[in-house]
Amino acid sequence: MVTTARDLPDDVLAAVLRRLAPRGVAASRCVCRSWRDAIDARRLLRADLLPLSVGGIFMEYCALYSPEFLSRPSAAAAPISAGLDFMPSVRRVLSHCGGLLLCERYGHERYYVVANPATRQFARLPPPTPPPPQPSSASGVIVEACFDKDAAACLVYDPTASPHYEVFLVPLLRVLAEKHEARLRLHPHPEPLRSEWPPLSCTMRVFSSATRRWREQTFLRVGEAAGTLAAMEPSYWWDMPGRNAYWRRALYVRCRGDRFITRISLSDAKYQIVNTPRDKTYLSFLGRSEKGVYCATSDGFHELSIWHLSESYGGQMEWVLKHHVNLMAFSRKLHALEDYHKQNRGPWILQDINYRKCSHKADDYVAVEEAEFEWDSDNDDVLDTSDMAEGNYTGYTGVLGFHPYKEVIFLNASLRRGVAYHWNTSKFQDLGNIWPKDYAELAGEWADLEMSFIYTPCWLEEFYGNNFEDQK
Amino acid sequence: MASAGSGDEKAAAAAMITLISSDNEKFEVTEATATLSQTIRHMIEDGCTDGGVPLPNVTSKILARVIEYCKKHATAAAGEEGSSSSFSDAAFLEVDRAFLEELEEFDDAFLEVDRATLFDLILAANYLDIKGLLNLTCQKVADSVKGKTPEQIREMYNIVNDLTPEEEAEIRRETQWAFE
Repeated sequence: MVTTARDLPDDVLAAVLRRLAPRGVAASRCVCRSWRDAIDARRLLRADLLPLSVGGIFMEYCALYSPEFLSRPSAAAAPISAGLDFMPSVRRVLSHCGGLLLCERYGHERYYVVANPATRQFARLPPPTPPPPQPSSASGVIVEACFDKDAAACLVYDPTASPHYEVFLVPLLRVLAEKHEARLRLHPHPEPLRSEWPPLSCTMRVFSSATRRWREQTFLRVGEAAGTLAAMEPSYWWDMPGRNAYWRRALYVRCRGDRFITRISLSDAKYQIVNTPRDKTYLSFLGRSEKGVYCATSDGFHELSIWHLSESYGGQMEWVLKHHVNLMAFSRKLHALEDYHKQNRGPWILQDINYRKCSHKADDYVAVEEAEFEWDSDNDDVLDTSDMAEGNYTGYTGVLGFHPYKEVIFLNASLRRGVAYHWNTSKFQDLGNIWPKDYAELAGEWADLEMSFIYTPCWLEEFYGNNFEDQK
Repeated sequence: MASAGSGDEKAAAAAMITLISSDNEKFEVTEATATLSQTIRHMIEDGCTDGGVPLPNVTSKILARVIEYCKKHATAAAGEEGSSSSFSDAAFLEVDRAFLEELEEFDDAFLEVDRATLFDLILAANYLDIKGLLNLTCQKVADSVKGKTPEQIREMYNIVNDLTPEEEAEIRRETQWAFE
């Protein structure tokens, strides 16, 4: 008689299945009844611990030291340590993926930290190896003088597939306006500027929590370059790291301001340029949502377009317009709401981490009562816009981020109030005030968001790297 | 356990255990090898191994493989005990590393078996309570399932899907994130 999988007793079958990542357990649950029952009887699949729901919004404000966190307080769920007070103080959150944050700490020593604000665990990464020379920069100092090179640090973590995370340092090209002009004056046709950007091959530094060290990995470009180095126009605002997305083993990194994004395929070490939708608007956000990667373009005020990146198996990429809206009327109505300017007026609450960290002010901070239920991303606090009166308001509507699993975009009305917008049904959900307490005094005319992202907490205790710093 | 490794000829001879497979084949093994199985260790402690240990659930073919595994790993365990007293000695650490690598190679080669044999080894490891062997073989099956769809798993292991279409749809709905 031949022994088959059927002959395995339940506890042995469970011993096999508990070695699988959640994605494998979920697939096994679908194989047959005995497999499903073996999994369910032992709770081998804990979807409740996975980063599958929105826990809040992290925001980095100009002129504020710590990131801020907007969330619906819930008595049911454990609080998120958004103030990151469980680890050495960080200056900036660079990237978020699967409930982990990649933070940067600088002072006399600059290093990366990966942190889980839900389980209060963190790992300090060993220092990265020096950047490898890129082919296009090998040819001379002129390029160096005109372009500043740096790297966008992107975190990749999908706990449904693996307990390990990776950090990619993607080379960026920053064209500085003043140097660009100097270059045109001094060197009308410098040779190196004719080389392509991005180059045919690109070496990135990659950290893996599995090997606990940095390695160099070369990615080959497929498709066209964006242009020659000379054609890279100066960008007056810096490329914003952190505006990247991860979907199906590919990283999407915003490069060169709003000109193009780079799609980096991790499974076959290739990368390609995807031009952003071109019209009179500029790219205001890149993120993942229900069906893949999306971007939002805006005219800077109230015109908003939402695009979905349609990817064919042949590698063809095309932006498909999913929605276009002018939010002027809505934002006027929102502004006219009685509660509009009030601090701590929910339903979502800004934690005011920066304000509370000032000890002399912390005492008069009024704690917020916790709501009984978790936020229902479909039905809570829906604004009945037909009943709302329009105020006389001129501001702008910005983007806070995409809902990672639903076709919902989170918006900010002139940095004053957050709302969730279901673009398929034109439904608005009120979130709450996003203006940090005393922010006007602190920031003055510099008041702005540096970055924001939609945070999905991960409650898995398995976390690699509490002692990376000992590794040399 | 006290008699094993004493170096005394007579004691070593006394520490031999006879294992009897389901098809009545007899295997002589040292006590150190046999006690990698918790089941046999308990039998020895209870003093009921005289006249051999009958293993009605394990065929001679599988038992031979299990003994091969235990012999190798018993030597490894003995080696570890020996080196623990000289942990500061770099030469010993080097020997340890080489030995561990060799052990890993052995394990990899050991797992090069067909599926039916693999399941038989799992069942034997479970019955004999040999933790290392159970871990090794279970991981091998888990690795083969990794990244596969339910259909592929069923096909690979000849499993009949006894879920109703409604039940299957329900499972997929509950864990939609896993089927993207």
